[in-house]
Amino acid sequence: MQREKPLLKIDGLTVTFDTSEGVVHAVDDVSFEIDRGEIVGLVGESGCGKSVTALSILRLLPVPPARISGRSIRFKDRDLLQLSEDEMRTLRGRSISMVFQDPMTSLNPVFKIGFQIREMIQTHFPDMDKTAVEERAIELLRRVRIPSPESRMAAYPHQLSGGLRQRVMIAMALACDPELMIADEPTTALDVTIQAQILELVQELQNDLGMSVLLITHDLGIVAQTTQRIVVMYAGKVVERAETAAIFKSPCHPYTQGLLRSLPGRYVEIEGKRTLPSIPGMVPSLIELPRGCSFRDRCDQAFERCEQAMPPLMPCGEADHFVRCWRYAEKEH
Amino acid sequence: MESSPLMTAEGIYKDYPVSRGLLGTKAAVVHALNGIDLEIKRGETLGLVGESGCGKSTLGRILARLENGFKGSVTFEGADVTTLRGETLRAFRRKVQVVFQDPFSSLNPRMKVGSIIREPLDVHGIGTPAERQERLGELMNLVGLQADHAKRYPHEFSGGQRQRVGLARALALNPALIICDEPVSALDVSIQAQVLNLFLELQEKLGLTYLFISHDLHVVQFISDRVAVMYLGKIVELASKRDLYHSPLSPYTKALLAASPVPDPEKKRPVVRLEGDMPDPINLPSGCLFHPRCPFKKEICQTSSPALTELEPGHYVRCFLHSDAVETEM
Repeated sequence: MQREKPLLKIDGLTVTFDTSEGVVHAVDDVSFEIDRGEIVGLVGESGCGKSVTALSILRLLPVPPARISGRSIRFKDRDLLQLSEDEMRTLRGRSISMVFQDPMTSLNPVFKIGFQIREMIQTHFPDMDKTAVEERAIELLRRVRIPSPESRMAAYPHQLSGGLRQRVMIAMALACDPELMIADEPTTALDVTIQAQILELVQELQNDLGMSVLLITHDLGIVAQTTQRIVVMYAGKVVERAETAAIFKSPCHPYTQGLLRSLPGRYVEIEGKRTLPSIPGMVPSLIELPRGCSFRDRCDQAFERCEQAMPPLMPCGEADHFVRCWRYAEKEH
Repeated sequence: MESSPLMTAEGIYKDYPVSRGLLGTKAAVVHALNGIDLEIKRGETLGLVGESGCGKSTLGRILARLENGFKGSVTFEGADVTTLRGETLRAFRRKVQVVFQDPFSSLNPRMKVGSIIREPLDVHGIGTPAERQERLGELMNLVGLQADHAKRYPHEFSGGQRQRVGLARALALNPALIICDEPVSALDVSIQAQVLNLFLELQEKLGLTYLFISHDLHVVQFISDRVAVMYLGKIVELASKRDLYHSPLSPYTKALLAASPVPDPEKKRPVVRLEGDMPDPINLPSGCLFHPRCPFKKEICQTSSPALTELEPGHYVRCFLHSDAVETEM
């Protein structure tokens, strides 16, 4: 199958932070692609570097203390790492938009919803006349299914529920018909019934508008139900990358395997014994990473080679399934 | 075997006054709990689920006697504990302990972990200093902490370890009942599994009873024997874990289960879509509290409030689709 050129191609992204305690290796040699019109899930536990990866795409990290290196972040024909700050500013919100976890802190509490959406449209389309901007704003609220959008334009953020606020954030992210929407834990602050509504909305919009979505979450239930492909991160590195179905059906990396086993939602009770399989230990410090594979201390399948060097991403199983684990290198020979 | 209940709550109502308006003069009332009847059996884990604002934490706090000014009665080991004060309340606290969600804010950052765990023993004046020190060692061992951890401060610990500290402190006085309010919600999955296993292990070893409050249906399914579902301060369904997850009856329970994302792309849940948000607990809807969002509402649901009815042994539901019983107003 001939694959179309990806919309976004991250190649060897590395981000470090200079802190008083030392250099934090937040993201290390991260590479993945997002095709047009697909939802890619970026998953991992807290501190694994998933949010830093997202912020690096839009170059929203403060430099210094952050230092971004890497071969390239290619968005269509441009390398985002090479763009000037002005060029980046026109791109943010226009071609790539972002939705954050907490809509209360992303919306300005002293301005009405309508003002904030109109501002977003006017910034990117300064020539649009006032009535057209107003119509577009209402249309956006309608598109994210906010009831009685005309009257909601006059509401302040605190007058809306958490679910409605997140819909407003999504409306603003859609304001300029972006080609890529990055959603960082967009439903973590919401209740499950509201979360279901928002995820359904994201899928529907993605389908109708043909945009791509990078969905960042710690919740494997969410990625299972909404994404086409998954990138799993651990301690700043991509440890596994594949189609969603493949990850859940035949996970290759011991971390992914352990993570899936430890989910209460996948637990099958065996008569007389109730223990959830867990991964022993905890995530290593990103300042002093152990030599070799950063998962080896917690891995039940580690062997000599894992202590010597960090494995590269290598193919395993089906096409487009990659894993960072020496066990798969052995099998080739 | 039907064991006698360890704790019983009857007709619990709790209102919180809030001030509204520009000068804070317009008084309004948040109806947090609207008639809760609940039994916790000895040795069981009773799961309590519901979305934020449903009153599950308020109920936990009332049962732990951390809240005053509520209507109804609470009985513990056969004795009425609703109005305990002073010394008798202190005696009750030895038996009923709480583990909170956020181990970052529930542990005093200026106390060493050893002192935090030993504090209940000091406060209640149990044993000699040497005995308390020995008990501290036992407790730390019980929850999987190492002896040298006692000299460290909470900030030196990870979330999972801090939750172990909270648990050790709760266990210090040999309680019969532990009220766990979202104890694993702040933890990463791989750590969450470790802590959940610890809860089970301790229950088996020490014969504990848990009231396990959580918004996570999968976690509750794993840990509980029976599960109660709350909505706007009322229990809408209560059943054994099996019945509740395999044959839920209340439309709200069904919607909640359908909305909870299954970590398996091949299992698509039936769609039971709920419109809108949970109503404001200041202005409660008429009739059944769930009717404004219910896809199956009938006329009666808008005017009358259904009673919690036992449809099958141990399976209670509050819904006119299943029973005509109307709730008698208190």
